[in-house]
Amino acid sequence: MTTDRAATPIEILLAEDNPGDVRLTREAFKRGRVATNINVANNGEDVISYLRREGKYQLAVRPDLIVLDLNMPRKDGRAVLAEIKHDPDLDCIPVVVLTSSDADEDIVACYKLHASCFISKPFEVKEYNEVIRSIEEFWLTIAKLPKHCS
Amino acid sequence: MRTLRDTPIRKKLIAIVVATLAVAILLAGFGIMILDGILFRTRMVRDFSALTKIVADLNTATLSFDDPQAARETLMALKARPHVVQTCLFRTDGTELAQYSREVPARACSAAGPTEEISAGDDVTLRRPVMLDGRQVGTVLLTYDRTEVSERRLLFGAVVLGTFTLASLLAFLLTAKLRGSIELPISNLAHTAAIVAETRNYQVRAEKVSDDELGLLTGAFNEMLSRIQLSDRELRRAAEELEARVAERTRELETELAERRRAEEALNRQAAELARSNADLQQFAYVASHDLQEPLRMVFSYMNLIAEQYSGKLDAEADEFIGYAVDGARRMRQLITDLLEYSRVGSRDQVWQPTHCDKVLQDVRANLSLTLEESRTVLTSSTLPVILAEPAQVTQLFQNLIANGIKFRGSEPPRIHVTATREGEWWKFSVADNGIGIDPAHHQRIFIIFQRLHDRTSYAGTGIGLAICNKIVNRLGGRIWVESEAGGGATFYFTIPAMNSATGSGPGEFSDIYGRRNDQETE
Amino acid sequence: MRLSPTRVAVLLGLCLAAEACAQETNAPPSEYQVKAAYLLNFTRFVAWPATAFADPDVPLTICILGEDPFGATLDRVVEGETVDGHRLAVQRLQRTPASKSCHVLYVAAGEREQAKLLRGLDHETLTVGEGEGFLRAGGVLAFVLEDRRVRFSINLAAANRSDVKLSSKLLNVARSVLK
Repeated sequence: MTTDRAATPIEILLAEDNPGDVRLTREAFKRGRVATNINVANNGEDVISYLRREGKYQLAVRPDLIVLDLNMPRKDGRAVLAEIKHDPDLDCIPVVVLTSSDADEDIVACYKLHASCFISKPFEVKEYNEVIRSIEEFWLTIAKLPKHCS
Repeated sequence: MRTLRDTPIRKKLIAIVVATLAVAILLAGFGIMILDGILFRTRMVRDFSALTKIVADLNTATLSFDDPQAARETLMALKARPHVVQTCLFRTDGTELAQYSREVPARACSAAGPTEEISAGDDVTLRRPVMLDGRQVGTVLLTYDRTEVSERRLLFGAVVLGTFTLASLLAFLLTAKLRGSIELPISNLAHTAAIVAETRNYQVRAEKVSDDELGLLTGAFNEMLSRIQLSDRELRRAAEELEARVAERTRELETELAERRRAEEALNRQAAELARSNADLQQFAYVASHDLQEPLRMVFSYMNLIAEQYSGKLDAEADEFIGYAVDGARRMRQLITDLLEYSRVGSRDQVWQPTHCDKVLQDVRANLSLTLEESRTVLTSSTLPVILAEPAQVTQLFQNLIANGIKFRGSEPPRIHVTATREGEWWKFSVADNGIGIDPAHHQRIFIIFQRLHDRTSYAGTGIGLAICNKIVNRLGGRIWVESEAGGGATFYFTIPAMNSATGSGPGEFSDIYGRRNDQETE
Repeated sequence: MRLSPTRVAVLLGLCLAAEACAQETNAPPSEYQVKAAYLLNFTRFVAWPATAFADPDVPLTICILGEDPFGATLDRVVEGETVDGHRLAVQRLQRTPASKSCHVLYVAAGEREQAKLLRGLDHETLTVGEGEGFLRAGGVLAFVLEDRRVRFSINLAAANRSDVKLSSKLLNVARSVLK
């Protein structure tokens, strides 16, 4: 939508089971300046499979950034984060935790598991859009992202 | 003196008798001796004066007829008086007519001199004129010694000593006789007392020998023994009774103890159950809050999206309905947030540390700076103590109470005063405001979660603030209450246990802790 | 005649007592001066019966029978003296005195028939003479010389016969006593 968009869109894996939030997030990124390719995994197991290109994700592209919700079915977001950070092929990918929780325990636990940042989902839609725009602004324009981990 | 005190009574008696005798005899003896001495001297003077006169009388003729031979013969008769030392006869012209002397050589003697003089040693010399028919025919001189006095004194002393010795001997014999009547009863008593003291056998009795004072004493002693025996028996019985009672009480106590132990076990079980259920409840509240948040946010978000995107495309009624739904969702969200916060008090392992309340109040002032400014609140405080607590919770406590005071303000700008006073082992804090006050009927209710007194159009809020305060104070071991009248302002009180060395900590020591905590709390 | 110093002293004493021999103090006393004094002294150791004096004013009379050997000496000796309240008087006789006229009768040595003389006297007169012969003749007192000192002897039997009583003190001093 903007002229200085990069040739290759940035790959984002959105780990989110709530379709409402998926919609909100997609919409928000769509309105952003950076070209993004949003892939969605609806549960924890799918997230791991996607990252390891297992099963139906054999052709999946390695994401530049992971946006992770903590409350997901089958495999909890914290477990997913731990697995990512213990995998030498994946551990350098930044993980932005975006969750409805604002509990101290969750915040501490996530950072201990080397989450790149922890963001509570705001209640108001306007604020939610602001958050997404901030993520885009910081992680996709200001921050330099690694192309590979090994 | 000690030795005399420790000697047996018999010896004391003898000593007393002998001493009495000695004093009596010696006093009497010496008294008589002195009296006799005086009398004897007087008599001696009289005797020798008479003797001199006789000698003079016998010699009137010898002097008249100047007959030394006859005179000498006369004087020789004085040989019969051994105490006469010397006698001389003088003519009227002072020349010596005749002389008799016991001693050889004789002493010189002279007619001239006093009528009576004490000469060499203890001798006395008398001079008398020899008178015949009213005329002096010569002078006679007679010297006698007074050895008789000392001889007599010696004799007297010997008699006194002899009497004393004899009397002592008799007294000793008499005392020995009396021993039976005085010493025997006493030694009987002493012996009996010794047996009683040694064996604690109160059945023995001292033999009563006489009916005198000692007899009375023995009787009294025996009487005393009887009483002791009686009270001893009673004491023994009482002791046995006491023992029995103690044994009984011990059994009772053991039963009681067993019961108490059972009760305690039951209590512990209950406490454990309670802790478990409490933990479950907290976990439930937490999970529920989280899990409720997400769908609620969906409802809210998409209601908002509808309101945004279909604005003007629906009729006014639809807009109103959407408004109610959004408001309900927002309030529900607030309730969940509050519930979450409430459940968080004590849900985590918190570290209690010395917390300087002055610093806490400073932080609260900073946290509420905007509100304080807007409401033109005057917040004052006295010096506040250091307490042992979780600083963030204390901050929340003060903040909630102060915010409450501001929220329920009247028409005037709020004035809030915070104080703390020491009451024994406790600090009593007060937060007083000049707000609308609280009807005493509601003083209990306001500390219960979600209890509100006012409709939400006048005062916003979920009614969680004071419940959280109550929970924080309770967890610190204190209690919280309010004193107020409707329309007359309100004063919230709460008590916190005092630290032993509260005054020892300086305010700056924990500033970094406060700072860190506060940053976190004020997110 | 020589006199011992003792003798002189006695006489001097007598003189002082008598206050009557002032002139003779520097000369040793003669035999008769002593005898005169003795005559006076005798009266002090002798008791006369009450009948010997008619009344208290009657003087005690010393009579000298025969040749007077004393001269004025005796008068001087007795002058002013009293014995038992009686003044003293000296009478010189040539013959036997009348009854009750003499209390002391000195019989001079020259007189004869002394025994006869003495027998004729009453019993209230003290008789004084010279030598033991006088006593044998029946006199009561007699001057004797012994070792050149004037002494006297007593005839106790004669004294007992007389009503004049001699003091035992006088007997004590006498040289010898005839019984």
